[in-house]
Amino acid sequence: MKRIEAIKEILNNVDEKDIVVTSAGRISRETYYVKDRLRNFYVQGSMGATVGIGIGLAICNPERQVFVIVGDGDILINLDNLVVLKKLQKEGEIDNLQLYILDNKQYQSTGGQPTVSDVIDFRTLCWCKTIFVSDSEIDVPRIDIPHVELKRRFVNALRE
Amino acid sequence: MKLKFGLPCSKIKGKIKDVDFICTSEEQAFAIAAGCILSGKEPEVYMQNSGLARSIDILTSLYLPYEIPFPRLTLSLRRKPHHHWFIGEITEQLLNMIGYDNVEVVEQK
Repeated sequence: MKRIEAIKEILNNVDEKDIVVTSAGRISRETYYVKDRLRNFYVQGSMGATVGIGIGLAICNPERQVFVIVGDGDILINLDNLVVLKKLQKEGEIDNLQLYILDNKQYQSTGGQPTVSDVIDFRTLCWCKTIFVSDSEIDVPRIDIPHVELKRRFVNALRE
Repeated sequence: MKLKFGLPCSKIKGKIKDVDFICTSEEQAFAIAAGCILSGKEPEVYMQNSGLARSIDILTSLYLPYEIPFPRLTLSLRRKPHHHWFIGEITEQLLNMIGYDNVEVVEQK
């Protein structure tokens, strides 16, 4: 499946009040392109931070589902996040975080260098869904809303 | 949850008895705190100064560009033994360079 098709399928399950957090690179850009929403938070740098941000959002918004969409490179750089997520899931502290790992086995944004994800099944580390994806074969534009505005509208949308 | 996230240090252990769970990296503590702040909450984070060094990326690539206010930080400042010396010498400069003033620095005596 192409990455952008996987993103479309995930977004189809997102209710209006739900939260979507996406990791740096193509995943944030393609999510913005497919369906920009006020309750989307696009991480654009900060490799490895997206799952943690999602955990914080899930803790503080128990009435909303939090969809976290990340790449294999983003997961691998801070793999410990999955262990903490497992702990919170197992102890019932979080039941509203849906983690989707879009695994293309490469660092696409930097030229397609291989990651080491081929030797690990992320699903053995925590409750998550792994989707093996290929390139979207479409060059979507960069996010053209300033960072501060993205944050402002996201924060406001969570107040509603 | 009390929304206190971080990693322990023996020098601040008295201040972190009531945390929800111990994180596995300081960067993760800042990431979870960011999710709380975006939700209108006021989390706290705690760590040793070596962990501040590990967190420079998330502070400069998430908090600063998105103008997410820094969470209250309890920071143990260590200079001894020798492997703590070099980060200890630049910790306050790092805080100043980032503009991190919402911090209580607890220095080893």
